[in-house]
Parts: sequence; structure tokens; C-alpha cells
Amino acid sequence: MSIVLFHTYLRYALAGAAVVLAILTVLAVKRGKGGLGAALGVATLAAGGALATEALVNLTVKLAAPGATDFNEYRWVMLAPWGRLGLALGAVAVLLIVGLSWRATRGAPAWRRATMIGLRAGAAVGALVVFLEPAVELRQVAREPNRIAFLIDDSASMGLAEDPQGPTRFERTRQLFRDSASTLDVWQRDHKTDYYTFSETVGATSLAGLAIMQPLGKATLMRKALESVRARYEGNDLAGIVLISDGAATGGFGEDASEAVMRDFLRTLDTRVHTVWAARSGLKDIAIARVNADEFAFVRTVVRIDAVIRTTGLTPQRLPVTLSTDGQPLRQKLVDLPAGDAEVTVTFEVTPPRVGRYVYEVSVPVAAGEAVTTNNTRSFVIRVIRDKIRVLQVAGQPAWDVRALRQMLKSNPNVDLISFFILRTQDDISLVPNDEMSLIPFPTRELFEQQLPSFDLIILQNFEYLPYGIGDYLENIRSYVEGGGGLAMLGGSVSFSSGGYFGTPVATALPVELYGPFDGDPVLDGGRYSPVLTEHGSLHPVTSLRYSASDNAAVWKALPPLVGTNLVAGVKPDATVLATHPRLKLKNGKPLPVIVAGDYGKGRSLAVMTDSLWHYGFVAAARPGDDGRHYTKLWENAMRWLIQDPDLRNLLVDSDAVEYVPNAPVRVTVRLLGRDYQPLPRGTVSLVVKRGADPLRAQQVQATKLTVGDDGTAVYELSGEDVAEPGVYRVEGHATIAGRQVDASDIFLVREGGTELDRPTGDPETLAIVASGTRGTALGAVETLPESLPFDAPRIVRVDRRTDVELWSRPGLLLLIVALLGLEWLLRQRSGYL
Amino acid sequence: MPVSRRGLLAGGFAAAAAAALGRRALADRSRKAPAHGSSKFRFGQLQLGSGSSWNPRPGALRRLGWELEKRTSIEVELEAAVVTLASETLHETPFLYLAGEREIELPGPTSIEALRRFLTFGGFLLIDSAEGATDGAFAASVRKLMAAVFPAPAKNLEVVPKDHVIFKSFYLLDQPLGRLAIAPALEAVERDGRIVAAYVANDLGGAWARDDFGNYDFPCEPGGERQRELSFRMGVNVVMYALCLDYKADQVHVPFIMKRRKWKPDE
Repeated sequence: MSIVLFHTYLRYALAGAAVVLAILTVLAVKRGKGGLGAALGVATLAAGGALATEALVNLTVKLAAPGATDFNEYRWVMLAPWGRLGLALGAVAVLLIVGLSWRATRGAPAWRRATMIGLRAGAAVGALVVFLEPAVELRQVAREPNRIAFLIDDSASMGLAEDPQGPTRFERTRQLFRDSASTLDVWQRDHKTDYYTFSETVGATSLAGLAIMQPLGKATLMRKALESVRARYEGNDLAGIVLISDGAATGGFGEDASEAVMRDFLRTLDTRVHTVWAARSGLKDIAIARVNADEFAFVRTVVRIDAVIRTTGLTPQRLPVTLSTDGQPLRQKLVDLPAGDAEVTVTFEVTPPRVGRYVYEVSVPVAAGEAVTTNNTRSFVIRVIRDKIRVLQVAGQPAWDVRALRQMLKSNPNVDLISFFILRTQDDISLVPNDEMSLIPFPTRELFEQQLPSFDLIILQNFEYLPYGIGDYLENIRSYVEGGGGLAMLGGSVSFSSGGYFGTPVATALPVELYGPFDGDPVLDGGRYSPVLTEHGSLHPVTSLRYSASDNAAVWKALPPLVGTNLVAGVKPDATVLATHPRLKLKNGKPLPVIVAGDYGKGRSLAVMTDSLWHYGFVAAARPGDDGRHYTKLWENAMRWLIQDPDLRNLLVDSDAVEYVPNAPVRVTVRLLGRDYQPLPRGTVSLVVKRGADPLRAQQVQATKLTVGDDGTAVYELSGEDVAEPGVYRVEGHATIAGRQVDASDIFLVREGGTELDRPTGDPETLAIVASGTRGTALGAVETLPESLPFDAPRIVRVDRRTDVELWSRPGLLLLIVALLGLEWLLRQRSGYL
Repeated sequence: MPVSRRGLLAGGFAAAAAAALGRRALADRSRKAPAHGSSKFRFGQLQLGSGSSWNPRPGALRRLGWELEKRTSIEVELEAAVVTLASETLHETPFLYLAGEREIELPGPTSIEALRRFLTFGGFLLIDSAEGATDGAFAASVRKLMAAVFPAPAKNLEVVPKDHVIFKSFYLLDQPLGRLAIAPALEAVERDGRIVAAYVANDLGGAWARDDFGNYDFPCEPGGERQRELSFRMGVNVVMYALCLDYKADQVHVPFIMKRRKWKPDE
């Protein structure tokens, strides 16, 4: 064990300097420059003295240390308690002594002067050693090898091959390890190697494990993997990480994150990460990279959907991009895709027709030689909600009932109202030129054909269709209701039977039976009456003006009487009579209905056989304390029921989310209400779950029968196995209420959580950033691992034996100091300096 | 029994015609049905003050009602209901007509409150001056009445601009002519964007009133019969406004509203 005071190069330099300085001293003396010669001589002695000191220290240690022990490390220790201050004071004292000596030897020959100064300085240094009490601590230590962690990407994108005939990225990784066997042997002399794979999670593996493993991970959570591996070595000695990946990171790293964010994170790792790019260029792919659309949209309001098409490694081409829902194409656009790597945005505009959940899909066809085909389609869910209730009010003549309804609807901020009133009929006399009147033609085609589906509710108020040539459009109104729309017909002199609706498609959708033209029965009654709520009517959402049935009955009783009734022939079998006439009867002896609600197809219709409901508003307001609010409440109720507010549906099926990852359990809540919209305890609901965008071709994955509880609800949980396959799922519920079948459905999407194969192209840039952010080396697309790759040396030390060699307490040191001082004194004597 | 194509066609036409006629007949039957409740429009003639001063132009409302029935789709009960502010049936005739030719006594607080409720919750009051002056005693009474019903700082009678919907609710008009043409503008009280009371100083009733022999009671000055026609048109417009409110203001925009909102959904 030798003590090294000077590096080898410095040692040579000191020796060389001593020789050169000696020559220079001789030259200076010969030229008569005594001062310079003396200075050079002192420098020569200093250089030589330094080398001599190192030799003396080594000699001392060698003599003092036990020879049998193989010490392999040493360190300097200072035994005196003076600390740094003592060292500084000692150094100053030595310099002072040298300075005084320089002054005291003025006039002496150069060599002699230099020698005297040197001797005194040597003695001073010796005294300094005694003062500071230095020692060498000799140690026998052993080092633990530290770890190299190999972090290998086993996500699905590593299973891709840029060349269909060539190796996959993962196969290339295996080959890299086979070809780097000698390098690994070299590294294992000082390090141990650990192997990990990562995708969504990090798992330990081995080279043997890698050989049989398949890359199937559904994400490339590179950041999480680096974090996780680094955390495993917290407190342990990590030499570095070798990251082998295609660079297509997901989960807030790589393309998803800014470089600054990545670098901030990489700094926290505090270890080198060397990277190897397992991918190669040349991959061919077209992908729906992103779809930007709001999660919520308003019904019948244009929704903008931006789809970003990413093309990689393909020749320029024109491709159709299709937007579809329910398996049916809605829109298609041709897009010119440039060569190479590019992104093109395609914008679609759609107008959802109804409230509910919609699963849309954007797709592009598969190109020849494409590496990944699953990213050519992308599904997403838009929840369509109602912003305003769109109401069409068509009135056959201006009247107070018409005015009251219009005023109520116009003042309701949730209603978008289109009114059309017939102000003049063909029977009316017109002696006035048209340009002196404000009348416009009845836009029948626009209202009843083009715009009909845009309304949530159509109100036909004392309106006869015959004079206006809209007989052809009555079928549109019927199919509108059948398809889910709301229809209200209000009475009056030209409504119901007297409006000529008997036998028309509109009559089919109404909840009441009308009199035919040749029946001969009276169709109108002008009497005054207070309608009577039926049992259903006392609880039905339309006629519930108060929450409790008794309060409601009291309110109805206190309302002002109505005037005038449209007589009808009967009530449709599955319709619900809410209020009846107190005196008039149907032919079957039952009370004449005044307000009747019914379902027709997917829609609802309401028949109000009077045109005096306005009495509940303005006439009621004659009484102090009444502001006519019951009229408003009645109509608000009616609108909610007619437009099928979710709370007012007999059967509701609702999944607890709109999007799930495969195998995640799905909770479906079912709520069943009876005919009076009160919970139907212990009712039975058939539930069928199907998979497939196209409802006609969807495959059944589960079917069950549920019995709802006393509160009318039940929860069904689909197991992970039922929803393992990605796709569009539909839950259809069927129940029978009072002999009538009611249906409800919901839709949800099962989709891979990650975006692993959405962007399959390898990304060497990400790996380069990882390497440069951690002092590592980005090796790029290498075939073997280079031996020279730098790793941190092992830091963990084990000390087996230790001994201290005190330099200051050696007797030789004392002799040396005395000898030096003696020589110096002798020289001074001989030179005549005392 | 074999049926020829001609026979089948003839039968089909006959059936269709019968059905159409049947419906027509039913519609006609309904139109002629006796007093079908509240779908018929009926004037309420407000009896305010003493004596017969509340009805200076007997027969005027009946004549306007007849014109309404003939010119528009409104079904009219020709006989006006005479009501007072204390009448229990006041709110069953939401259109009140108040005429006068001399000062009227301000009604008591209960009546004033009743009129306020009537106008606030949807009623309409047409005030027609028959005194032939814009600053007469009746006009002063009317202003006092309106100030009592809607005390300051609420707005009192104000001139109605010519582009107001009341001037285009059926006919296109620009001033409220009556028997006279002394006041160029209609004055009205607006509440929540709705005219609740309108005042005309031109004696509308004077232009409408007719005797039992079919002769108009008064000549119209200075415009003669053309002025009478415009007076009827004003009456029609006022009733139409009361029944349809601002319908004409939005109705002409329907196509634009629909197009702008892109309402047409995907099929």
C-alpha cells in the first residue's frame, strides 16, 4: 500500500522541475545574479523536498504498518485538535520563517543561501507536522457490485414489424441481448444486472423470460416505469438504467408531454438512463389519431367533430373518412393525405335528433401493408341533452286560450316557441288588398314536413286541418309521434271530431276515439263545469299541481269552472283518463273524459277537450292570492310529460358511466313506474345486453329478468367477462305495465383505456430526451450494447480492517528536524551569519 | 261479384268525396253549434260612472264584433257583456271597452285594485273618447284613472310608436283613426312589454256605431267612408293584438329563425 501525495504526472513534473531549476540556478550564479540564483535554488530544493517527503511518508507507513495485512485504501486524518485554523496558522508560520530566513541570508552565495533557507524551511515543516499531528488511516475494504436495471418495453407496439417480412421490435430486442452477451459479461464484473419489462405495469423478468414473452401490454407508461424502477433501488446502489423501447410512450410522456415537463421529471430520477431504440423507420399506418368533440351536445343543435387522421410512411393518397352511428354511415368526406408523416384534420357537423347517448365512430379504410388496423376506427360517446323545449303551437283562430298558452310559453325561458295562428279563413270576407294586411301564407310544407322532426312538442289548438290543405301532412304528424314526439290537441269549436280528424292518421295518435262525420252525435257542449280528477289523475305527473294527492284534489276543487267541451266517442284502451266531466257521459256510461294522456309508439299525446283552460290562469287570478300559477303549472307538467323528461318515463335503464375499459364491471340501474308514474313495487323487467354498433346486427351477450324493489328500482351488475370485448353495448329493458309493453334502452362504450396502438410509429426523439436528461447515452438503433457505456461505480463499501499510522510521533521525525536545524546552524557558522 | 276498374275508381272517388264532405259538414256543424263556451270572443263593456255616460255609442261594439266575425277567423259573441269593476265575471271578458264623453268619477280603491289585477294578469282595456277633444274632461279622467291604477314611478299613458306590433297585427296601419282624426297617435300603458291599456281620442265607437236600419250614426270627418274603414281596421287590429300579443312580431321571422338555428336534425 503506497501513499500517493502526488499524481504520477505531477511527480514526474516535480522531478523535471528540480533538474531544470538546478540548471537555471547554476546559470544565474555564473552570470552573477545572486538573488535570482538563490530563489531558483530554493525552488529546486522545494521540488526535491516534496518528492523526498512523499518517499519518507511511504517509508514511515511501510515500517509502521503490519506487513501481513493487505490494506487497499488509506485516508489522511489529523489528530491535533487545531482544525483548519491550526493548519492555516502553521502554514503562515512556515512562510514567515522562510521569509525571515531569506532576509537574514542576504549577501551569502546563492547556493549556500538557498541551502540554508531550504534547511530551515524543512525543519519548520517538520515542526508543523509535530504541531498538526497527522496520521494515515490504512483500511482493508471490499466493494459491493451495484446494479444495472434493464427496462424493456413489452407493450403491444413492440410486437409490430416495420417490414412485414422482418423481425418485430421485440424480436429485435431479444436479438440485441443475444448479440451483446460478451458486453454483459464485462459489465457483470463490477455490476449485477436486473431485467424488467414494462407496459401498463412493471414486472421483473430474466433473459430466459424475455425469450418466451410476448409483447401484449395495452399502454407504454414509460414515465411510470422509470419512476417505479428508480423507486426499487431507493437506498440501494444503482449503476444506471438501460431502457429498450420503440419510444411510442403513452400516459403523459413522449408525445403527450412537453419536453420541459419530461426533463423536470428526468432530473428527479438521479441516475443515468441509456436508451436503445428498438423500432426502425418505414412503418406504414393510417390512424384516427384523435377525435375532438364535446362530451355534451344539445339536441337538434349542430355538433362539430374534428377527427385528426395521422398517416405514416405511405404514398400520397385520397381516402374516404366516414362518420357513422348505430352502424350506419352519417357523413363521408374525401381527404387528401400527403406522403410521409402527416396529420390531417377532417371536420364533421352533425345534428343529434333526440336526447340521449350517442356512440359515433370515425373510420378510414385499411391501406395495403398497414402495420396496425385497429387504429383505423375510433369510437366516442356524445351525451345529447336538451337546451330548450322546442314547441310548435298551431292555432285555428285567435282566442283567449291561444293567447294564454302563447304568453305562458313565451315567458318560459326553457321554451323555444314557434307559433302559427290562422287569422283569416277562406270563409272570411276580404275587401282589402293583401298589401294592406300583415298576413302571410301558412308555411305548411315547412312546418309539417321539413321542420317537423325539429320540434319536441306540437300543440294543435282548436285547429281544423281541412281548409289549409295539410291533409297530406297528417301522416307526418302521426309518424312524428310514433317516433318519439309529443302531441297535444286542445279543444274548441274546430278541434277533435269537429275538426274533421276522425279516421285521419292524427286520430290514430290521439288517446281518444272521435266521432265520425256521419255519426250524427253532438260534438260540442257549451256548458259550464268543474272537471273531476280520476284516481290516476290525482297522481299523474300532468295533473299533479301539488305533491300530495289530498292537496292536489283541494287545488283542483278550488279552480274556476271551465266552459265548453269537445265530445268524444271514447278513450283508447291503453290511454289514461286524468279528468272527466261531472255530468256528461260516454255512450258506455262512463264519464266523459276532459283530459286524457296516452302513449303512441315511442311518443306521447295529450287530449284536452276544452278551450277554456285559460280560466285556470286569468279567471283564477281574479281572486286575491291567486296569480294564475296553476295554469302555468299544469302546462309545465304537461310539457315535461309529453317530451318524456327522464323522470317521467315508465321504464328507465341507465348504466353508471358512458365509457368503460374492458372487463370493468358495469352497473345498470332500472327504474319502473306504473301507469300513474308511481314506483311499481316488485315489477319485472327483462334486460338484454347486446354488443354491436348496428342495433339490428348486435349480438346478445347477456339476458336476465329483474324484479324491482318497493321503490321501483333494481341494480344489475354486468360482470367483467360480459364486457371483455371492446365495442358498443346496448342495454334494452322491456316490461309490461297494465297490459302495455314499455321499452327503454341505454348505450355505453367499452374501449381500451390506453392509446397504445393509436400511434404505433417508433419515436427515437423521446428516447433521446430521456438519455440526455439523465446524463445517459442515446444509443439509437444499435445491434449490440457497447462495453464502454458508462455506469456509476459501486458506492457501497465494506471495511474489514483498519489501522492508523501516526507520522508526527516517529522518533525519526525529531531526528530529522534536529539534523536539518543542525546543518543549517553549521552552514550559518561557516558563512559568518549568526 | 266482379267489379270493373271504372266501377272501382268511381266508388273510390265517391267514397273520398263523401268523406271530405262529411268532414266539411262536421266542421260546418261545429261552427254553427250554439255558443261553444269560451272560444268565442266577447267584449266586456266597462260600466264606469253614473247614468248612461258609459255607453255613448250604443251598437258600436256589436258592429265591430260583426266586422271581426266577417273579416277574421275570430269567433265573436256579438252581444257585449256589460261589467263593472266589481263584477264577479270581470275576468271572463279579458277585453274591456271603456267609452265616455264627459268626466268620469274615479272609482274606489277596491275597484282600482280590481282593475290593476285585471290588467296585470293579462286583461286588456281599450279606452275610447267620444267627447271630440284631446284635452277634454274625459281625457283628464282617463289619465287620472290610469295614474291611480299604476301610480308613479310606473309609466302612464305614452304615445305608441308607429312600428309597434299593434299597427300590424292584422292590417298595416299607421294611426288610430275613428269618427274624428284629431289625435295622430295611439296612447297606451305598457307592462312587461305588453300593452295593457290603449287610449284613442278619435272616437272609434262613433265610426263603428250603426242604427237599427243599417245607417251609420255619424259621418267620419274629415276622411269620410275611407276613414270609417280605417277605423274598423284599427278596431280589428286592437282585438287581434289583445288575442295574439306580439305574434306578428315573431311570426314573419319563422323561416329565418329556423334556418339560423339549423334545427333540422339528422334523420
